[in-house]
Amino acid sequence: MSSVAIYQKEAWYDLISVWRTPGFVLPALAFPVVFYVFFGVLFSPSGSSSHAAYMLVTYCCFGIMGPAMFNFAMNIASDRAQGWLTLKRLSPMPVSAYLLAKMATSLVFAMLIILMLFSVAAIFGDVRLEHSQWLGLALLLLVGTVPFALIGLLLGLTLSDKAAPGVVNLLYLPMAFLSGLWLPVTMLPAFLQQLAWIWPSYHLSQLGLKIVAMDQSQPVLLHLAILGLTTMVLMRLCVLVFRRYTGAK
Amino acid sequence: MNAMQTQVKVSGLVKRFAGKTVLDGVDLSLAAGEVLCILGPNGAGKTTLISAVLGLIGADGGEIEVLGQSQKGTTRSMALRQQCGVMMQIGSLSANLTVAEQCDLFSCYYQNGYRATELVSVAGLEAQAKVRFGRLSGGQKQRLLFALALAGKPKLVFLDEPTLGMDVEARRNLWQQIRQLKQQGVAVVLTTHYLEEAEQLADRIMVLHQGRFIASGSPAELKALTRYKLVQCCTALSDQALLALPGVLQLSREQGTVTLQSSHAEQTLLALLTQDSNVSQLEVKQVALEQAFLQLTAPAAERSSTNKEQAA
Amino acid sequence: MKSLVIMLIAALLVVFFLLLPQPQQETGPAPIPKAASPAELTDNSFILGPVQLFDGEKWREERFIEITNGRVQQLYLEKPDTALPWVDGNSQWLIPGLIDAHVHAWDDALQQALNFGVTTVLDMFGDHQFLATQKAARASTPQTNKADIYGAGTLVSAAKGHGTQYGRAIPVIERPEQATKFVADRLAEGSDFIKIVYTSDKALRRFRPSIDLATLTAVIAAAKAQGVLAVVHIADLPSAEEAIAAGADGLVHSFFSESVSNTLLQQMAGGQRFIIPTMTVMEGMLANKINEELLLNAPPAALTPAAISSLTERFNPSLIPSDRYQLLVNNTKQMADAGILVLAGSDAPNPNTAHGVSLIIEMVLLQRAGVPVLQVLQSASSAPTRAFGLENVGYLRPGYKADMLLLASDPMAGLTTLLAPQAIWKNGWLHQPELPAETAKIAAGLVADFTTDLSARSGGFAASSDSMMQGKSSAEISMQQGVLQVTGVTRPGFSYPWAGVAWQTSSSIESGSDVSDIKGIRFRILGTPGEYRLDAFSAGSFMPVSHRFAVTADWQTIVAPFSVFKGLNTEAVAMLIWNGPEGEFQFELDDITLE
Repeated sequence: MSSVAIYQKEAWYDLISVWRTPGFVLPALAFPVVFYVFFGVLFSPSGSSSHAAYMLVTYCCFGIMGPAMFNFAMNIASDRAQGWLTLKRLSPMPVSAYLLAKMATSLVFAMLIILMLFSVAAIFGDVRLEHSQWLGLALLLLVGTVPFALIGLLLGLTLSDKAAPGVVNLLYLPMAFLSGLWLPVTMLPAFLQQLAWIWPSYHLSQLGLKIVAMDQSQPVLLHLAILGLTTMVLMRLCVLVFRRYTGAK
Repeated sequence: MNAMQTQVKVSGLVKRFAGKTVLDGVDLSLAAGEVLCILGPNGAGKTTLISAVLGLIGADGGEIEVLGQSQKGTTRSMALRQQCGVMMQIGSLSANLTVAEQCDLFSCYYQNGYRATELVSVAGLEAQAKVRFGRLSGGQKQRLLFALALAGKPKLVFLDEPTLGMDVEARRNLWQQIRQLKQQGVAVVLTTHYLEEAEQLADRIMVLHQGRFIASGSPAELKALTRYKLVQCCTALSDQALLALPGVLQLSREQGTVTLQSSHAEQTLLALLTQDSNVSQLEVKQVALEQAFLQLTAPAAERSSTNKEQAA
Repeated sequence: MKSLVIMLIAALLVVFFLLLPQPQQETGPAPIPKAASPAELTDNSFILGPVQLFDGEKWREERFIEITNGRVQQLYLEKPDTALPWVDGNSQWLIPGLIDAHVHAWDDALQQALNFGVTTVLDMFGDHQFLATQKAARASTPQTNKADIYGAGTLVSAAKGHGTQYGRAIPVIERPEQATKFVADRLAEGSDFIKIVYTSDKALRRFRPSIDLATLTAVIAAAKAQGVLAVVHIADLPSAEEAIAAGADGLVHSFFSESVSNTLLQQMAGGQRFIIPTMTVMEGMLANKINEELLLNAPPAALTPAAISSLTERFNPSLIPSDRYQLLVNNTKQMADAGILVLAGSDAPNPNTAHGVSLIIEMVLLQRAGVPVLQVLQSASSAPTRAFGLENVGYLRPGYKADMLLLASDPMAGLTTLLAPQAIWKNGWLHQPELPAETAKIAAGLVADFTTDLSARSGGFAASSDSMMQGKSSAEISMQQGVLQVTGVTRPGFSYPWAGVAWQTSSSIESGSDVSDIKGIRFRILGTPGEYRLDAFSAGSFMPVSHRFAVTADWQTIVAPFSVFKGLNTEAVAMLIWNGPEGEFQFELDDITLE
């Protein structure tokens, strides 16, 4: 077997395995859509399509964060606990195949969420964007899953399989709220608004909102720099933790 | 293939965790076609030893050589991984993938291994090929894990409690497979709780205790090591009097029946009959390997004094 | 296989992104619709509101109206959230486009009507070919500058009866047996309903021959048999009573010869017949004040000179006492009080009326006569729709045409607001009346000496006679040795015989020329001795005012000040005609000068 085949099969079976977990698939796909339908389309304060466009960006961010963090954190923690990861490490499978497979699964989920939310926005929210905007938004969101996948990886390598879901929720939900993904960031109390910049999700959503010209007018480079820095720090941490994990029992 | 080729050689292996010495100068060698059974109570260092040999953890001292390659730290060559099969004690697969899918995935890792359908046959799970791992019985899971350990047609196989949860028939089938491996010249390292398994399969049994091998030999040799015999009877003598008998190491009572463990059964019997002529239901038994194993690894204090003190 | 699936997925993704909707406007993503002024609309689909909305029958609670492709889609209490452009109604008053239930339409009548917010007219006798040409547009909602038309086509009258005097040969009916074929012929020509002219034997005065009662009854029966309405033109009580008794669906005039009888009131109310009082045209005969009061002091911009001429025109002075107008008022009020459906109709373009604007005058007169104002609004919207079974007009309700007027003030508080509508929509398209061009002033000086070509100064000279109206006179002209030679014959035949040479004062007969700065016209003439006549036409008028003078066989210079033409609209004089004397004649004309 070629190593390309290993990467393909690893990714394919990781996706299948996750897809066969209704407890993961349903919330991951349904929550962003339901939330968006409620807060972006139905209970839109002005009934305007601009609100729907704004919320499309933020709920897309919310949507892609979830699978990335949960898929990595929960599945890696449980693979560790069940010896699956050990078995794989003992086999001639490259570790990168395992991680890239998880990343691919997260991207597939992100893509599904993007497709669903875009459809809802276009059909029910009257959102009208240029092709370049739709496409740019989708690509940004796909690339934007990386830092959240790293957060999930970090948690998955450090937490037990029992603690992982709770801790991820504890991070995911407040981070989404405080970054202005549920309500526009301007509707948050002032001190929370000032704290919003510490969350990577805030910067991702601002980049998305910039595409539809509804952001808070901070420079693109600032968001890119913070997201890039966060990603690099997380990568470094993951490497350290992975070394510690493989060096210890 | 040279049957006597040394596949694993460990010398002076030391591993410490948080200042505690878990492996304390372990030596080990394993030839091709040899089945080595490592016995030892929980915490004896069996898993640590295997992890170190597999390169899952690094050692603090000593040398490890696997398949002729020196094992340093936690890095191992892919070539080595291609030739080792492992079945870990805590070995669960993704519960959502079917037997066939797991086999397909694992078979693709190895360059010269079994094909996916062959692996399903190795596991003997043709009928369950479409069943997800989570729905298999405990024994079926073990069979699949065993098959996956063989996925690469390895030269060296580590089996950690391979028959756990299997019924008698399945266990015997697995034994048969292990014997076949042996015939193929595969070196097998086996840990087990079932001493019958060790007796049945092992060329050599090594007993690990507190980070050291305290005994090593064929099952027969090991059995011979255990000089102790059991003396059972109904007697009026007190515990104190019984423990004072020559050769008695331990004592236990169950519904009026006393079991004495003796290093010199003949002398014990003589003294017993001298002190209590009314002894009834007297019986002398050879210690089974299982008990010998317990005896070898029981804490020294327990053996020498605790029971005597308790009785006093 | 695998790569095929991957390519398929990739293709589907591409299709998905291509299908994602793009903004219609190029301004930004997700534009928020802003209120457009009516003029900014380029379409006949939009949301209008908030407005006070009269739906043709009653005032509605809804404040917003959705127009889709020129038809009312829906009424809303709140502004609906749609992608349609939104026109701010500024809380003004919105009513259906007006329906004039009695006109005679030709030429630009439908444009004139629409300029004043009359979006549908009912023609009570006109050229059936005009009707057939114009009626097609009413089925759909194209962008148009014309009102919809429904019509009677050719009316039903006796030989030499009313309707035959306009110089156009029309079929007449002699006997009851002809009724069925006569009606069928009319329907074949495109008539939407049948209009009959009838004067009873019992009437006090009978101006013209009329069909008899048996024929009237037969025609009404034939119309009913062929599924159309039969309406009757009457001018007195006995005729009205007999027409209603004969089964007429409605009367297209009221009358002022006597008071309405209880019999008539009961018969009409009980039989659900309707009345089109046409008070305006009668006001012109009797009181002749309303146009002066409401229109002529400050004429609406859309009034053409021709319309002003028509509004100022009077029927030939009659002997009818002017207090008869009160009788007409009383009759109208009694009919309305009796519950008879009253329809507003102007009878334009008869004297004292003009298309469009006179319907609003009619509505004011109805209100002044005592018809409740709500009923007056209905009389020009839902009432004609109910009476004539019109399609898709007369209401602002889902499915009806978006013929609408936006008014700056509450019409219930003053109908004259109708004279200055804020916006007129026809078929959902904003109609912007084309204002009449300023009538060109004509300079004093030589008009023609028939030596040098001065045709650029005017519309030129042409022979003219009543032969164009089926009369028996005729005329020819020729230019010889610097003079204009006219030969012809004037014979009785047409009610107003003429023969001679016509001078059109401008290239546009519609607007004519402004001669208000010019004292009069001077010319030299000789010819067959006798009494000659110079007829002057105001623009839009077909009834000349005349100045008579004697001509001898020797050249003489005649000076005719424009002041001798009583009632001539000197701001818009369309044509002058030099008519020869009765019998055969020949005359020469030269050196025509304005001074």
